[in-house]
Amino acid sequence: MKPLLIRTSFMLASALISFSCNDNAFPDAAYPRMNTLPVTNVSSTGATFHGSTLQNGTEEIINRGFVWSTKQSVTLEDGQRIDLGPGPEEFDAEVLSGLSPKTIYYVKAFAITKNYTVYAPYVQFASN
Amino acid sequence: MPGQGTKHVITMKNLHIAVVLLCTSLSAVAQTDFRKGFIITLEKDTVSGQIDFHDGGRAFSTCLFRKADGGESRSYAPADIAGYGFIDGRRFESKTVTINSAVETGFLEILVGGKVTLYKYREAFFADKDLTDIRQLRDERQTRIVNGETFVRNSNEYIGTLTYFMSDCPEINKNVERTKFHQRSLAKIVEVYNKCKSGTTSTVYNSKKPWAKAIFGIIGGVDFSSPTIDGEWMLFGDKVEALRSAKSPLIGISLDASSPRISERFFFTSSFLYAHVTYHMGSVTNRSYDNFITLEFHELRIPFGFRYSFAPRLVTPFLNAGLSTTIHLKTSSAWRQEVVSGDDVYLTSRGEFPTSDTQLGFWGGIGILTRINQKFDTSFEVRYEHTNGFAASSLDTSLTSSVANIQLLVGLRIK
Repeated sequence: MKPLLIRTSFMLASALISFSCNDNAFPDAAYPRMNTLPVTNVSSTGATFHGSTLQNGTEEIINRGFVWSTKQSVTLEDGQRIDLGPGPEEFDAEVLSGLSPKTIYYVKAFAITKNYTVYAPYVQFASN
Repeated sequence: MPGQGTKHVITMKNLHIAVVLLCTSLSAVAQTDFRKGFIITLEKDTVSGQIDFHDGGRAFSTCLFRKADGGESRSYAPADIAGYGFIDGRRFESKTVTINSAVETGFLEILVGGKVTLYKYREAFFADKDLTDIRQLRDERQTRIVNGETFVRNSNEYIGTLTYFMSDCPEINKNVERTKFHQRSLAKIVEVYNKCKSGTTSTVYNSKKPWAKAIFGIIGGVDFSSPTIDGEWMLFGDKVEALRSAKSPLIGISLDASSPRISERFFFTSSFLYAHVTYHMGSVTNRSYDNFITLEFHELRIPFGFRYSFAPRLVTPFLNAGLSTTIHLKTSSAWRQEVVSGDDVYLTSRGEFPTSDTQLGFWGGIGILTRINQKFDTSFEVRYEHTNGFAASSLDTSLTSSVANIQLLVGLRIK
């Protein structure tokens, strides 16, 4: 029985230490998944936007940034945007002017790859 | 991600091998359990040797006896011998009794011997005064219909039988009336009566075994968890499954309680296990509108049930099964929906996913127990658990869910 115990112990130990490093929240895809984080430093004319990459896709990110407007469905075609280019997974941008006081805005992080434009969920904020 | 897939396959292969090894060891060791004892021949001669110990029904119908280690064993039926017993343990006597109107010959276990002798035969109890008048102690459930209403009550006939047998000791009448219909209570009143009748002896067999015993321990391991969510999602029917099984460590305390006087093999078993589980789930239907949910639970899992332990060996196999409840101590979630429209991908947040506070389920497992020293033993176990999941329906969702868990557990018990 001793070999059985040793083998069983070994298998249990290997199972315990074989925790996968795969912590992906999405299935694999060509495009990345982005997230927009809460807006900080909001003033009457500006704010600081924050974004992050939740999961990279197989296509390389060419550009990333933020797009914002007073519409929830804001896109690159109809909103104001700031381009940051390729960079780290956590990124942010400080907008110093261009916002109207006491207005509700919606901002989305975005990423562009060879074939896709990906929009993160919007974050709502109100200028002072 | 081929590397991750390979790793997952290897883990599942290990799990499969572990289950096969445990099953093999279980069947290999589920053998005889010879202990020191004796048989009493029909000529009333006592022959010492070893007897195969059984906790269940076989003890009442068969006696497997051998004279010494490795000797040839012989099976005796109740008609072949007058009785058998274990040294400092259980004692059986061959008798013919009427049980529920049927006549049977079997080995009756003597629980208490004396002026009144108490016997157990399978699930039934018998009492015998002066070894001349053996009667079954009955307590049948009776259904009565009075004015259209159904009432269920117990017959309590055994109180009448005991009162009749013990009427010559009036000071214990009230004790007799309070006697419950279970082994411990019946044995107690017979013992009290035999002592009341000064000059008679009362022998309690198997008395070295305690009525109740609790074994505490620590338990830990790894849990492989796969949830599924099904139902209506904002008018879009969808099914969401785990993107991969969630692996999380488990740690907690265990409790095994038993009544060795009644059974050495059956235990009530329970444990309190803490787990921190993160599920990543996604749509499995092939549509352009997909749900992705990340859920993080801090859980207290409380499985409880019964364990059957096979004959004690260097490695003792066991089986267990029961129900479980999982309490969500802390929950956080991110629910996102994704739409792919041409070249554009829109990810929207649905906020928190509606979750329940608890899960209910059932579980079963097989394992082995081995002794480390006089004070400690250790267990290895594989468990399967199925719960009713964590999804709670809300205004715009009508969801059902389930979680399948496979657990590898290692325990250290203090005897």
